[in-house]
Amino acid sequence: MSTLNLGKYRTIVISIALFIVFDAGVLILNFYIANQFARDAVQVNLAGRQRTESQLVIKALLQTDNALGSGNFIDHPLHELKESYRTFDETLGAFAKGGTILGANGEMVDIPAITNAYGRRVLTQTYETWLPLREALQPIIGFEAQIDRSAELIMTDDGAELEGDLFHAIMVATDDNRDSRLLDLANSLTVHMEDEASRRAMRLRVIQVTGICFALINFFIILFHFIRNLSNSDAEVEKARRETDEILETVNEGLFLLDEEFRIGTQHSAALNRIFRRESLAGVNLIELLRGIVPDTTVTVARDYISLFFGRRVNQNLVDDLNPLNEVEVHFDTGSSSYLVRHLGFDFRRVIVNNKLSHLLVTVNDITETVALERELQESRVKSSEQLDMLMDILHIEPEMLTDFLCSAERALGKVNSILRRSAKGEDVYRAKLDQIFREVHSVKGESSALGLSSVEAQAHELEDLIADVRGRNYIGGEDFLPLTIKLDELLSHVHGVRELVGRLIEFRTAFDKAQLEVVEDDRRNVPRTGITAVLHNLADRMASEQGKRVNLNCVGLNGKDIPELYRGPVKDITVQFVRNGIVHGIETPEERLSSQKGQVGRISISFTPLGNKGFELSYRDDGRGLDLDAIKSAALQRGFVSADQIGTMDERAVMGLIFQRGFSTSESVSTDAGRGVGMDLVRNLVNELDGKVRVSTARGEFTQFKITLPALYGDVDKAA
Amino acid sequence: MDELDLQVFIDGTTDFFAQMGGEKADVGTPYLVSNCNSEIKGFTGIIGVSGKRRGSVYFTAPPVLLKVLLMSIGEEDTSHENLCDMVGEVANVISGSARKEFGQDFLISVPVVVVGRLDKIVVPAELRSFVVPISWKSYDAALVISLE
Repeated sequence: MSTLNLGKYRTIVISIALFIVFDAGVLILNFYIANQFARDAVQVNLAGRQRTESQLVIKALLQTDNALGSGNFIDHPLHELKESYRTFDETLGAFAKGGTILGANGEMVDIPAITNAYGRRVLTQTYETWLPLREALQPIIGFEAQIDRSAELIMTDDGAELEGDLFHAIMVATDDNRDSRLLDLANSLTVHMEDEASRRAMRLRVIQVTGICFALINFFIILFHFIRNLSNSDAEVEKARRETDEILETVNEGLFLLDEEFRIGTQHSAALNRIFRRESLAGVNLIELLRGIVPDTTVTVARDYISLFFGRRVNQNLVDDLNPLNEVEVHFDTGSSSYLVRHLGFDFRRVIVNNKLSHLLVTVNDITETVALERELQESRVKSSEQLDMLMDILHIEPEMLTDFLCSAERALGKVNSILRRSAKGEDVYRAKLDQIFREVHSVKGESSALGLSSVEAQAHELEDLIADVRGRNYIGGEDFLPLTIKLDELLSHVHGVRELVGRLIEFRTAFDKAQLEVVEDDRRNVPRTGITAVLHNLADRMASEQGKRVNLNCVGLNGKDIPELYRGPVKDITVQFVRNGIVHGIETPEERLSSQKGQVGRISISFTPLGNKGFELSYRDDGRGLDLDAIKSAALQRGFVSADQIGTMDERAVMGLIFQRGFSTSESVSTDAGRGVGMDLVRNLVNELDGKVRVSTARGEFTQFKITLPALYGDVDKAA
Repeated sequence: MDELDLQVFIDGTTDFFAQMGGEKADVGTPYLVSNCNSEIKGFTGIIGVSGKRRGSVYFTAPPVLLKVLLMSIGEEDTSHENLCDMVGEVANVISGSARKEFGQDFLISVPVVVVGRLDKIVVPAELRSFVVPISWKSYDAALVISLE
């Protein structure tokens, strides 16, 4: 069994029910009053008719008697007498006992008996006055004569008897002013009934007015109750709405409800507009909204993931763990062909109403700053790790030497980029570009190798590999240089990274040196090797160790200030190549040297000597195995530098000249130290660029010597001399 | 920088000339610049790239190349607007090609045409851009790729 739960509407329903009851009551009362008025009007009318009928009876009686006496027809007056008699008598009977009689309008009407005391008394008096006349009139009313002439009638017995009866009745009627009394009594009854009707009407009117008043009061109660309740309700709703608005305006998160069709609800936080950088988000499809700001793959992932929530059996925690939208990179097109990148974090909660999934409550946060910090931290870790490796790579190198190298490397790599940038086209030009680039890169590799900067050396070597790969192609186009440019970019970035680290190291060392200054000042017995000398010693030590050889390097005149500034770079590049070649090809292993009656330790002497106005001489000499002219010839033949016929006609000097050809090498394979055949080519180019000359002398099993003369420099001659 | 990514933009450019220009465009040796504005040749169509890689890609060409290009497709009206449309079209084809190749992980913007210097274009300052010289019928243009 169910009951009607009206709740807060109970009062208003009861009030309305009462209002209807009052209104219905007043309406019923109206019907009743209207009926009562109609009945009273009939009774008053009938009472008034009794006055007339009482006089009509007397009048008809006298007219009948007069007609009879004068010999006129009595039919008409006698008929009127009978009608008036019957009407008066029946009406009087009806007033006394109630009944149905003919009304004034000719229709039958029901009238109730008069019951009040005054009316009954008047009726009693009327009966007492009427009854003697009524009895006297009985014979006349019962008279049924067929003869209509009175003269003839008077002559009959019936006529005589009628005349007697008429006389008797007139006597009774006039006796003691009966006719007047009947009129007065009928009048009294009429007036009484009019008063009764007026009194009843007044009473009913009062009742009606009271009912209407109650209905109106009830109406006003309903009205005020309603207004008050509505007002209170509106105030509560307004307050709730204001609070909701304040929350939605203030909250930093993007908050909104999402339906199964992925539509955003009508209410959402103001932050959502800021986050998505657009107005009017209500009703917008979230997937379509994402489509413009994330890649298609993310759109698909988002749709699939959100659809999971609308499945019947969803484990919120499990789905939370799977959330691929907790960190989404979004891209807002700024309209000037660039994107503003932000990171958003989405969170989804199921909203259950009446045990049914109503919506998803979605929270969006702009987590750009957090993500940026995390990435910065991550990058910082990676960078730190890289820098640590780099640090291990450079820690053994003098910062000044490193700085010199970095300048030199950047200059060389800048030159590589300039070569790439030259707009000349064509197969030959491209091949020439490759050669030029190769020399620069090889110089960087040589220097980095000399310093023991293996990371740069490795990258330079990779670039050389790429160049070699392109060189080996039958046809070379501009696009083939693309991997070279990419590698160049990487190498530049790496060199910049090293420079950054060196800068920090120098800062650190400056501070450290300052603190240790006093201690260090007392310990200056060992003058450190600096400049090119240090570079060459590092290179010689490292390469000898790698090659399993022992070398004693002696440098003269190679300190920074001994060499004019213009020649420092080329002298360094040239001597690096000589030392590399000397250790790889010239100096023998200790075992070989012992068997050749030499000391285990190979000797390399390098000197840079000013010759006054004749310029400068750079001399290199090692006591290794000397140049193997047969091997040179064989390699030149094998690599196609010369034909068999040409070989036969070449003298020793010409054969030794082959080692300066680009790409010439006697090595069977390529390593970071030898094999590409660019080292001596680099030497030759550098000497040519400086307008210098190279002389080679060698003795098999004894030595190899290079003497390079460089022209004097104005302004530097005196100083150098 | 991934060689394949760069190649997509280069291919997009050469494909355009192969299809529209009637004559193959030659690609010069790519090089690096730190300031893209130095490579601007008058009319520039720019597309923004975001997603897996971020930055901008430009096709920049002198008016004369664009005029000849217009005429080669039968368009005799070489007004300023048409030159802009043409350089924009090149950028559009590059953009379409890029979308086709790696649209799933990238967002490629609608091309924007700029005449003169690119003052308003945001280029990551720390980046070096790759400049790929493009020559077509003895006219020189350039594709500039500036991506993180």
